[in-house]
Amino acid sequence: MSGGVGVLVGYDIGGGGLRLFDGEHLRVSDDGDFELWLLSEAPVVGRFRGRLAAASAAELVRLAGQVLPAPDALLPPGGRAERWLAGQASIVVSAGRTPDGAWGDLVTAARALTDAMTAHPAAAIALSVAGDWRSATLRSVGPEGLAVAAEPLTVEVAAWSGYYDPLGTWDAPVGSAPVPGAGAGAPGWSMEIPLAHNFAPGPGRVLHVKVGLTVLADGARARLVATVAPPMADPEG
Amino acid sequence: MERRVPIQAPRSRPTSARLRRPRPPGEPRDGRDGALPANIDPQLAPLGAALLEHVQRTAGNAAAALLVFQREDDTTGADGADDDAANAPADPAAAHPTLREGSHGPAVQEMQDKLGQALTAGGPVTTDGRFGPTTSRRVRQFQRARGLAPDGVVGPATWTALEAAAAGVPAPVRPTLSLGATGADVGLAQEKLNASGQAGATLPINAVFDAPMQTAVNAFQSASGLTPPSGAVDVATWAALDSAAPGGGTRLEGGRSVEQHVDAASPATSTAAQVPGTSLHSLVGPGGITSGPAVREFQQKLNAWLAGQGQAAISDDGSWGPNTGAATSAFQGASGVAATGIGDLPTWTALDAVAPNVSVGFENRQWTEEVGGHTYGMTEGAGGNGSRYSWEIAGTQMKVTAAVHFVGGSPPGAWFGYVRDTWNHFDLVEQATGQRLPINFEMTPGAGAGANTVKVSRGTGRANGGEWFLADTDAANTIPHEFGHLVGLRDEYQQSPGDYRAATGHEPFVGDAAGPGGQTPAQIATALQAAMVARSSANAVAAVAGMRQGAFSQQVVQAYAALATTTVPAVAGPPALAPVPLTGNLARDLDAALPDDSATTSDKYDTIEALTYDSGSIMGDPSRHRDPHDHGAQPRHLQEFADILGRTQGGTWVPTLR
Repeated sequence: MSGGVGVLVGYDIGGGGLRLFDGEHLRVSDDGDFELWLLSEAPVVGRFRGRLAAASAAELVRLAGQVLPAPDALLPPGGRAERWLAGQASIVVSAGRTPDGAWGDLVTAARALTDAMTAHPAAAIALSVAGDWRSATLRSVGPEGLAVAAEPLTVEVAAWSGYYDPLGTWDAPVGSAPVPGAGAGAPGWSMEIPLAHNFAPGPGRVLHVKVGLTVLADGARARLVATVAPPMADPEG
Repeated sequence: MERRVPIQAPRSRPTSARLRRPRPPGEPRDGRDGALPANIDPQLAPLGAALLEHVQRTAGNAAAALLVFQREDDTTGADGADDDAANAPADPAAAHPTLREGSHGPAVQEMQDKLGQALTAGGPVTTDGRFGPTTSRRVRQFQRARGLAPDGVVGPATWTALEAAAAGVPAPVRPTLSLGATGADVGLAQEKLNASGQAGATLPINAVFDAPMQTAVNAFQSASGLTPPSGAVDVATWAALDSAAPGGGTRLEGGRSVEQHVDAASPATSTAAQVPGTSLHSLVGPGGITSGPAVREFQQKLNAWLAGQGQAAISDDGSWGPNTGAATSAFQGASGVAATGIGDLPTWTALDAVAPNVSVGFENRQWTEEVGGHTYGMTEGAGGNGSRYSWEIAGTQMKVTAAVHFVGGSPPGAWFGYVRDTWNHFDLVEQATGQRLPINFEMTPGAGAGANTVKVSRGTGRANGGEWFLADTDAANTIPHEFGHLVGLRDEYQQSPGDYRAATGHEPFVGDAAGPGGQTPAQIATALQAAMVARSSANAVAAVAGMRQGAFSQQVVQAYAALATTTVPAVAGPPALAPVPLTGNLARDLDAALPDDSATTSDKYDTIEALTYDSGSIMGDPSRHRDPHDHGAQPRHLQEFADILGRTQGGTWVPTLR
């Protein structure tokens, strides 16, 4: 994000404080520049940067101008906090919930924009799974690259049938071989990961795969978990 | 767009690849205690039951148990055993029923308890009162070790061998304790002093015999007739403490040391306390709930009043209609309640006074709790709701239902089965008559003011009282936990000592009394405060590295409370963070000052975890705190419904395993 420009809108799930990229994290500046960090629950995780379309930025400016200071929400048992910012105002809601009123309008609009933001990876990791479920591919995307720590990757697989009927899970470390070309943060690398489970593709079956790795950015470490998790058809539409 | 939600805080995993098959709903779930297959040679010579019985009769249980223990480790011997019945002694210890896979109830629980003491390997046996495949495997392990036929059936001979083994466990040796003593025995004495209710104060379980403890010992001794009080825990005082507060200490179960619970002076209150100023009753009638169990409860109360007036009853069909409205107005007129014509709070209150006996009810429990120093809750408004549930005495059972309005997606069918599997294993028993009434729980899809709203989200994440995740691979545990909240139950993890005691009915455990070594409690407390000032969750978790819940961590809590307080400075941001004045309450300060956990780290959670208490029950955190004697659903979780039964039907009811 550009330096010296005020925060128009942003949010942090978990994280925040002094660790910029800790948790899901968004900042949009007054000039429309954005920086988004996604650490998990997406096939492409990492840092995304770009500039919003003028109309989108203008709409955020309008919505941000309407929010008023509001009390933090009482979280449900076990709930996680999601802190939203608009200029100097902030509000805490239970993660994933939409607040009422003007804050809700702003949150809804900002969340909708994150889809478009993920089309602009700056330094990210993308995961894909082969059609036969026997291997996955991890590759660096974006021009900046990410330095990956020389630690074992972790792989978790969950197989489902029907509508989230669990078939089982499988997990394994993938050894400590460094990701090719990644140690120095060079972009453009890829690596194949074998998946030695016994689940077989079939009608009505879905495989969810998570690959975790540690990256180094801005002088600190962060754990990324790239996730391929195709949804299953809702029987009630 | 699909909302991306962080995954749950990471949990420890084995380092090798593995396949795990999910437990389908309906399959017995016992043995989540990491039980191992028997490592005993199946060709062991039989230890004849008759010989065992002879030894037991002539030399006593201890000798028999010694023989049994010796045999378990024996790898030589003659061949095969008869089946269990053939092994039975002439005079079997046979007040016990024969148990086999599929059996359940208190006898199974007793057997599992003895089995845990008898086995010397494989880890503790889960005492859940359910004889599933894992219990069967452990029974066969025991039978092989004693030369009994390894059929997995607990008949007279196996019972005899189990009892002999359990009876042979030597009594614990208790040292005399006095001012300045430290260690696990001090913690045990503190538990018992608290539980006795005769120590004049509630001690922290910190395993340090300090001046407050000495005062408590004196008070207990005076109350127990041990005069003059010596202020030391000597043989006589230990005996009095054991009598006043049985249990506690550790014993070997399956080769591992397992701490036993000490029941607190007051029973558990697992149901969360209602927020002051709110009512369990909901508005019924126009403008409120117009159908369902709340209306039916109201109609039944009206009918009780009408009967007293010699008037005809209205239909208690659970649907608000003109007759219900007319009866309401009549009651309000006769009772001096404002004539609103609807079931408002004053009318409910007046009806409760004249008509306590109903067979159906609806409760809207609004509550808050403190977990890990943070306040959570289920209250009405701001997109949330209280715990909304109904109960009904229907024929031969009490049925408790939580209707759920699922938004964002459909719930998998398995979720409903997980609730039944976890919760439907109990009866309510009337203490004077012994009458039993099964109690069963049900989660049903629903809508409207009588339903709880739960968001169904894709992917995985940390489930909470209002959001559940479709791809949760631990849904068999997660969903029953969250369902517990929907029927008003509080959490049992990351608790303060007082909240743990209240929620579980157990004294806080001694746990780790020694700590990780290398640092004093004061040094750790200072490091934690520095981590807060620096807003560094990583530094905080490093400060508690190697610490486990228990007495040592409570020493850290106390040392922190003794530090001079300070204020954590503001952060300019983004995000801008307000200054945090520290209070001396360690969990609350950590919660307020440290950055939250991310999707992939759990430093803050793990820091607070080490400084608080978990139970191993379904409402606790069994993934971090395994407890073979407190796991899954427990009778204490059902006490609210036993109390409802008593209030509406009379008598004193308690929950018990079915």
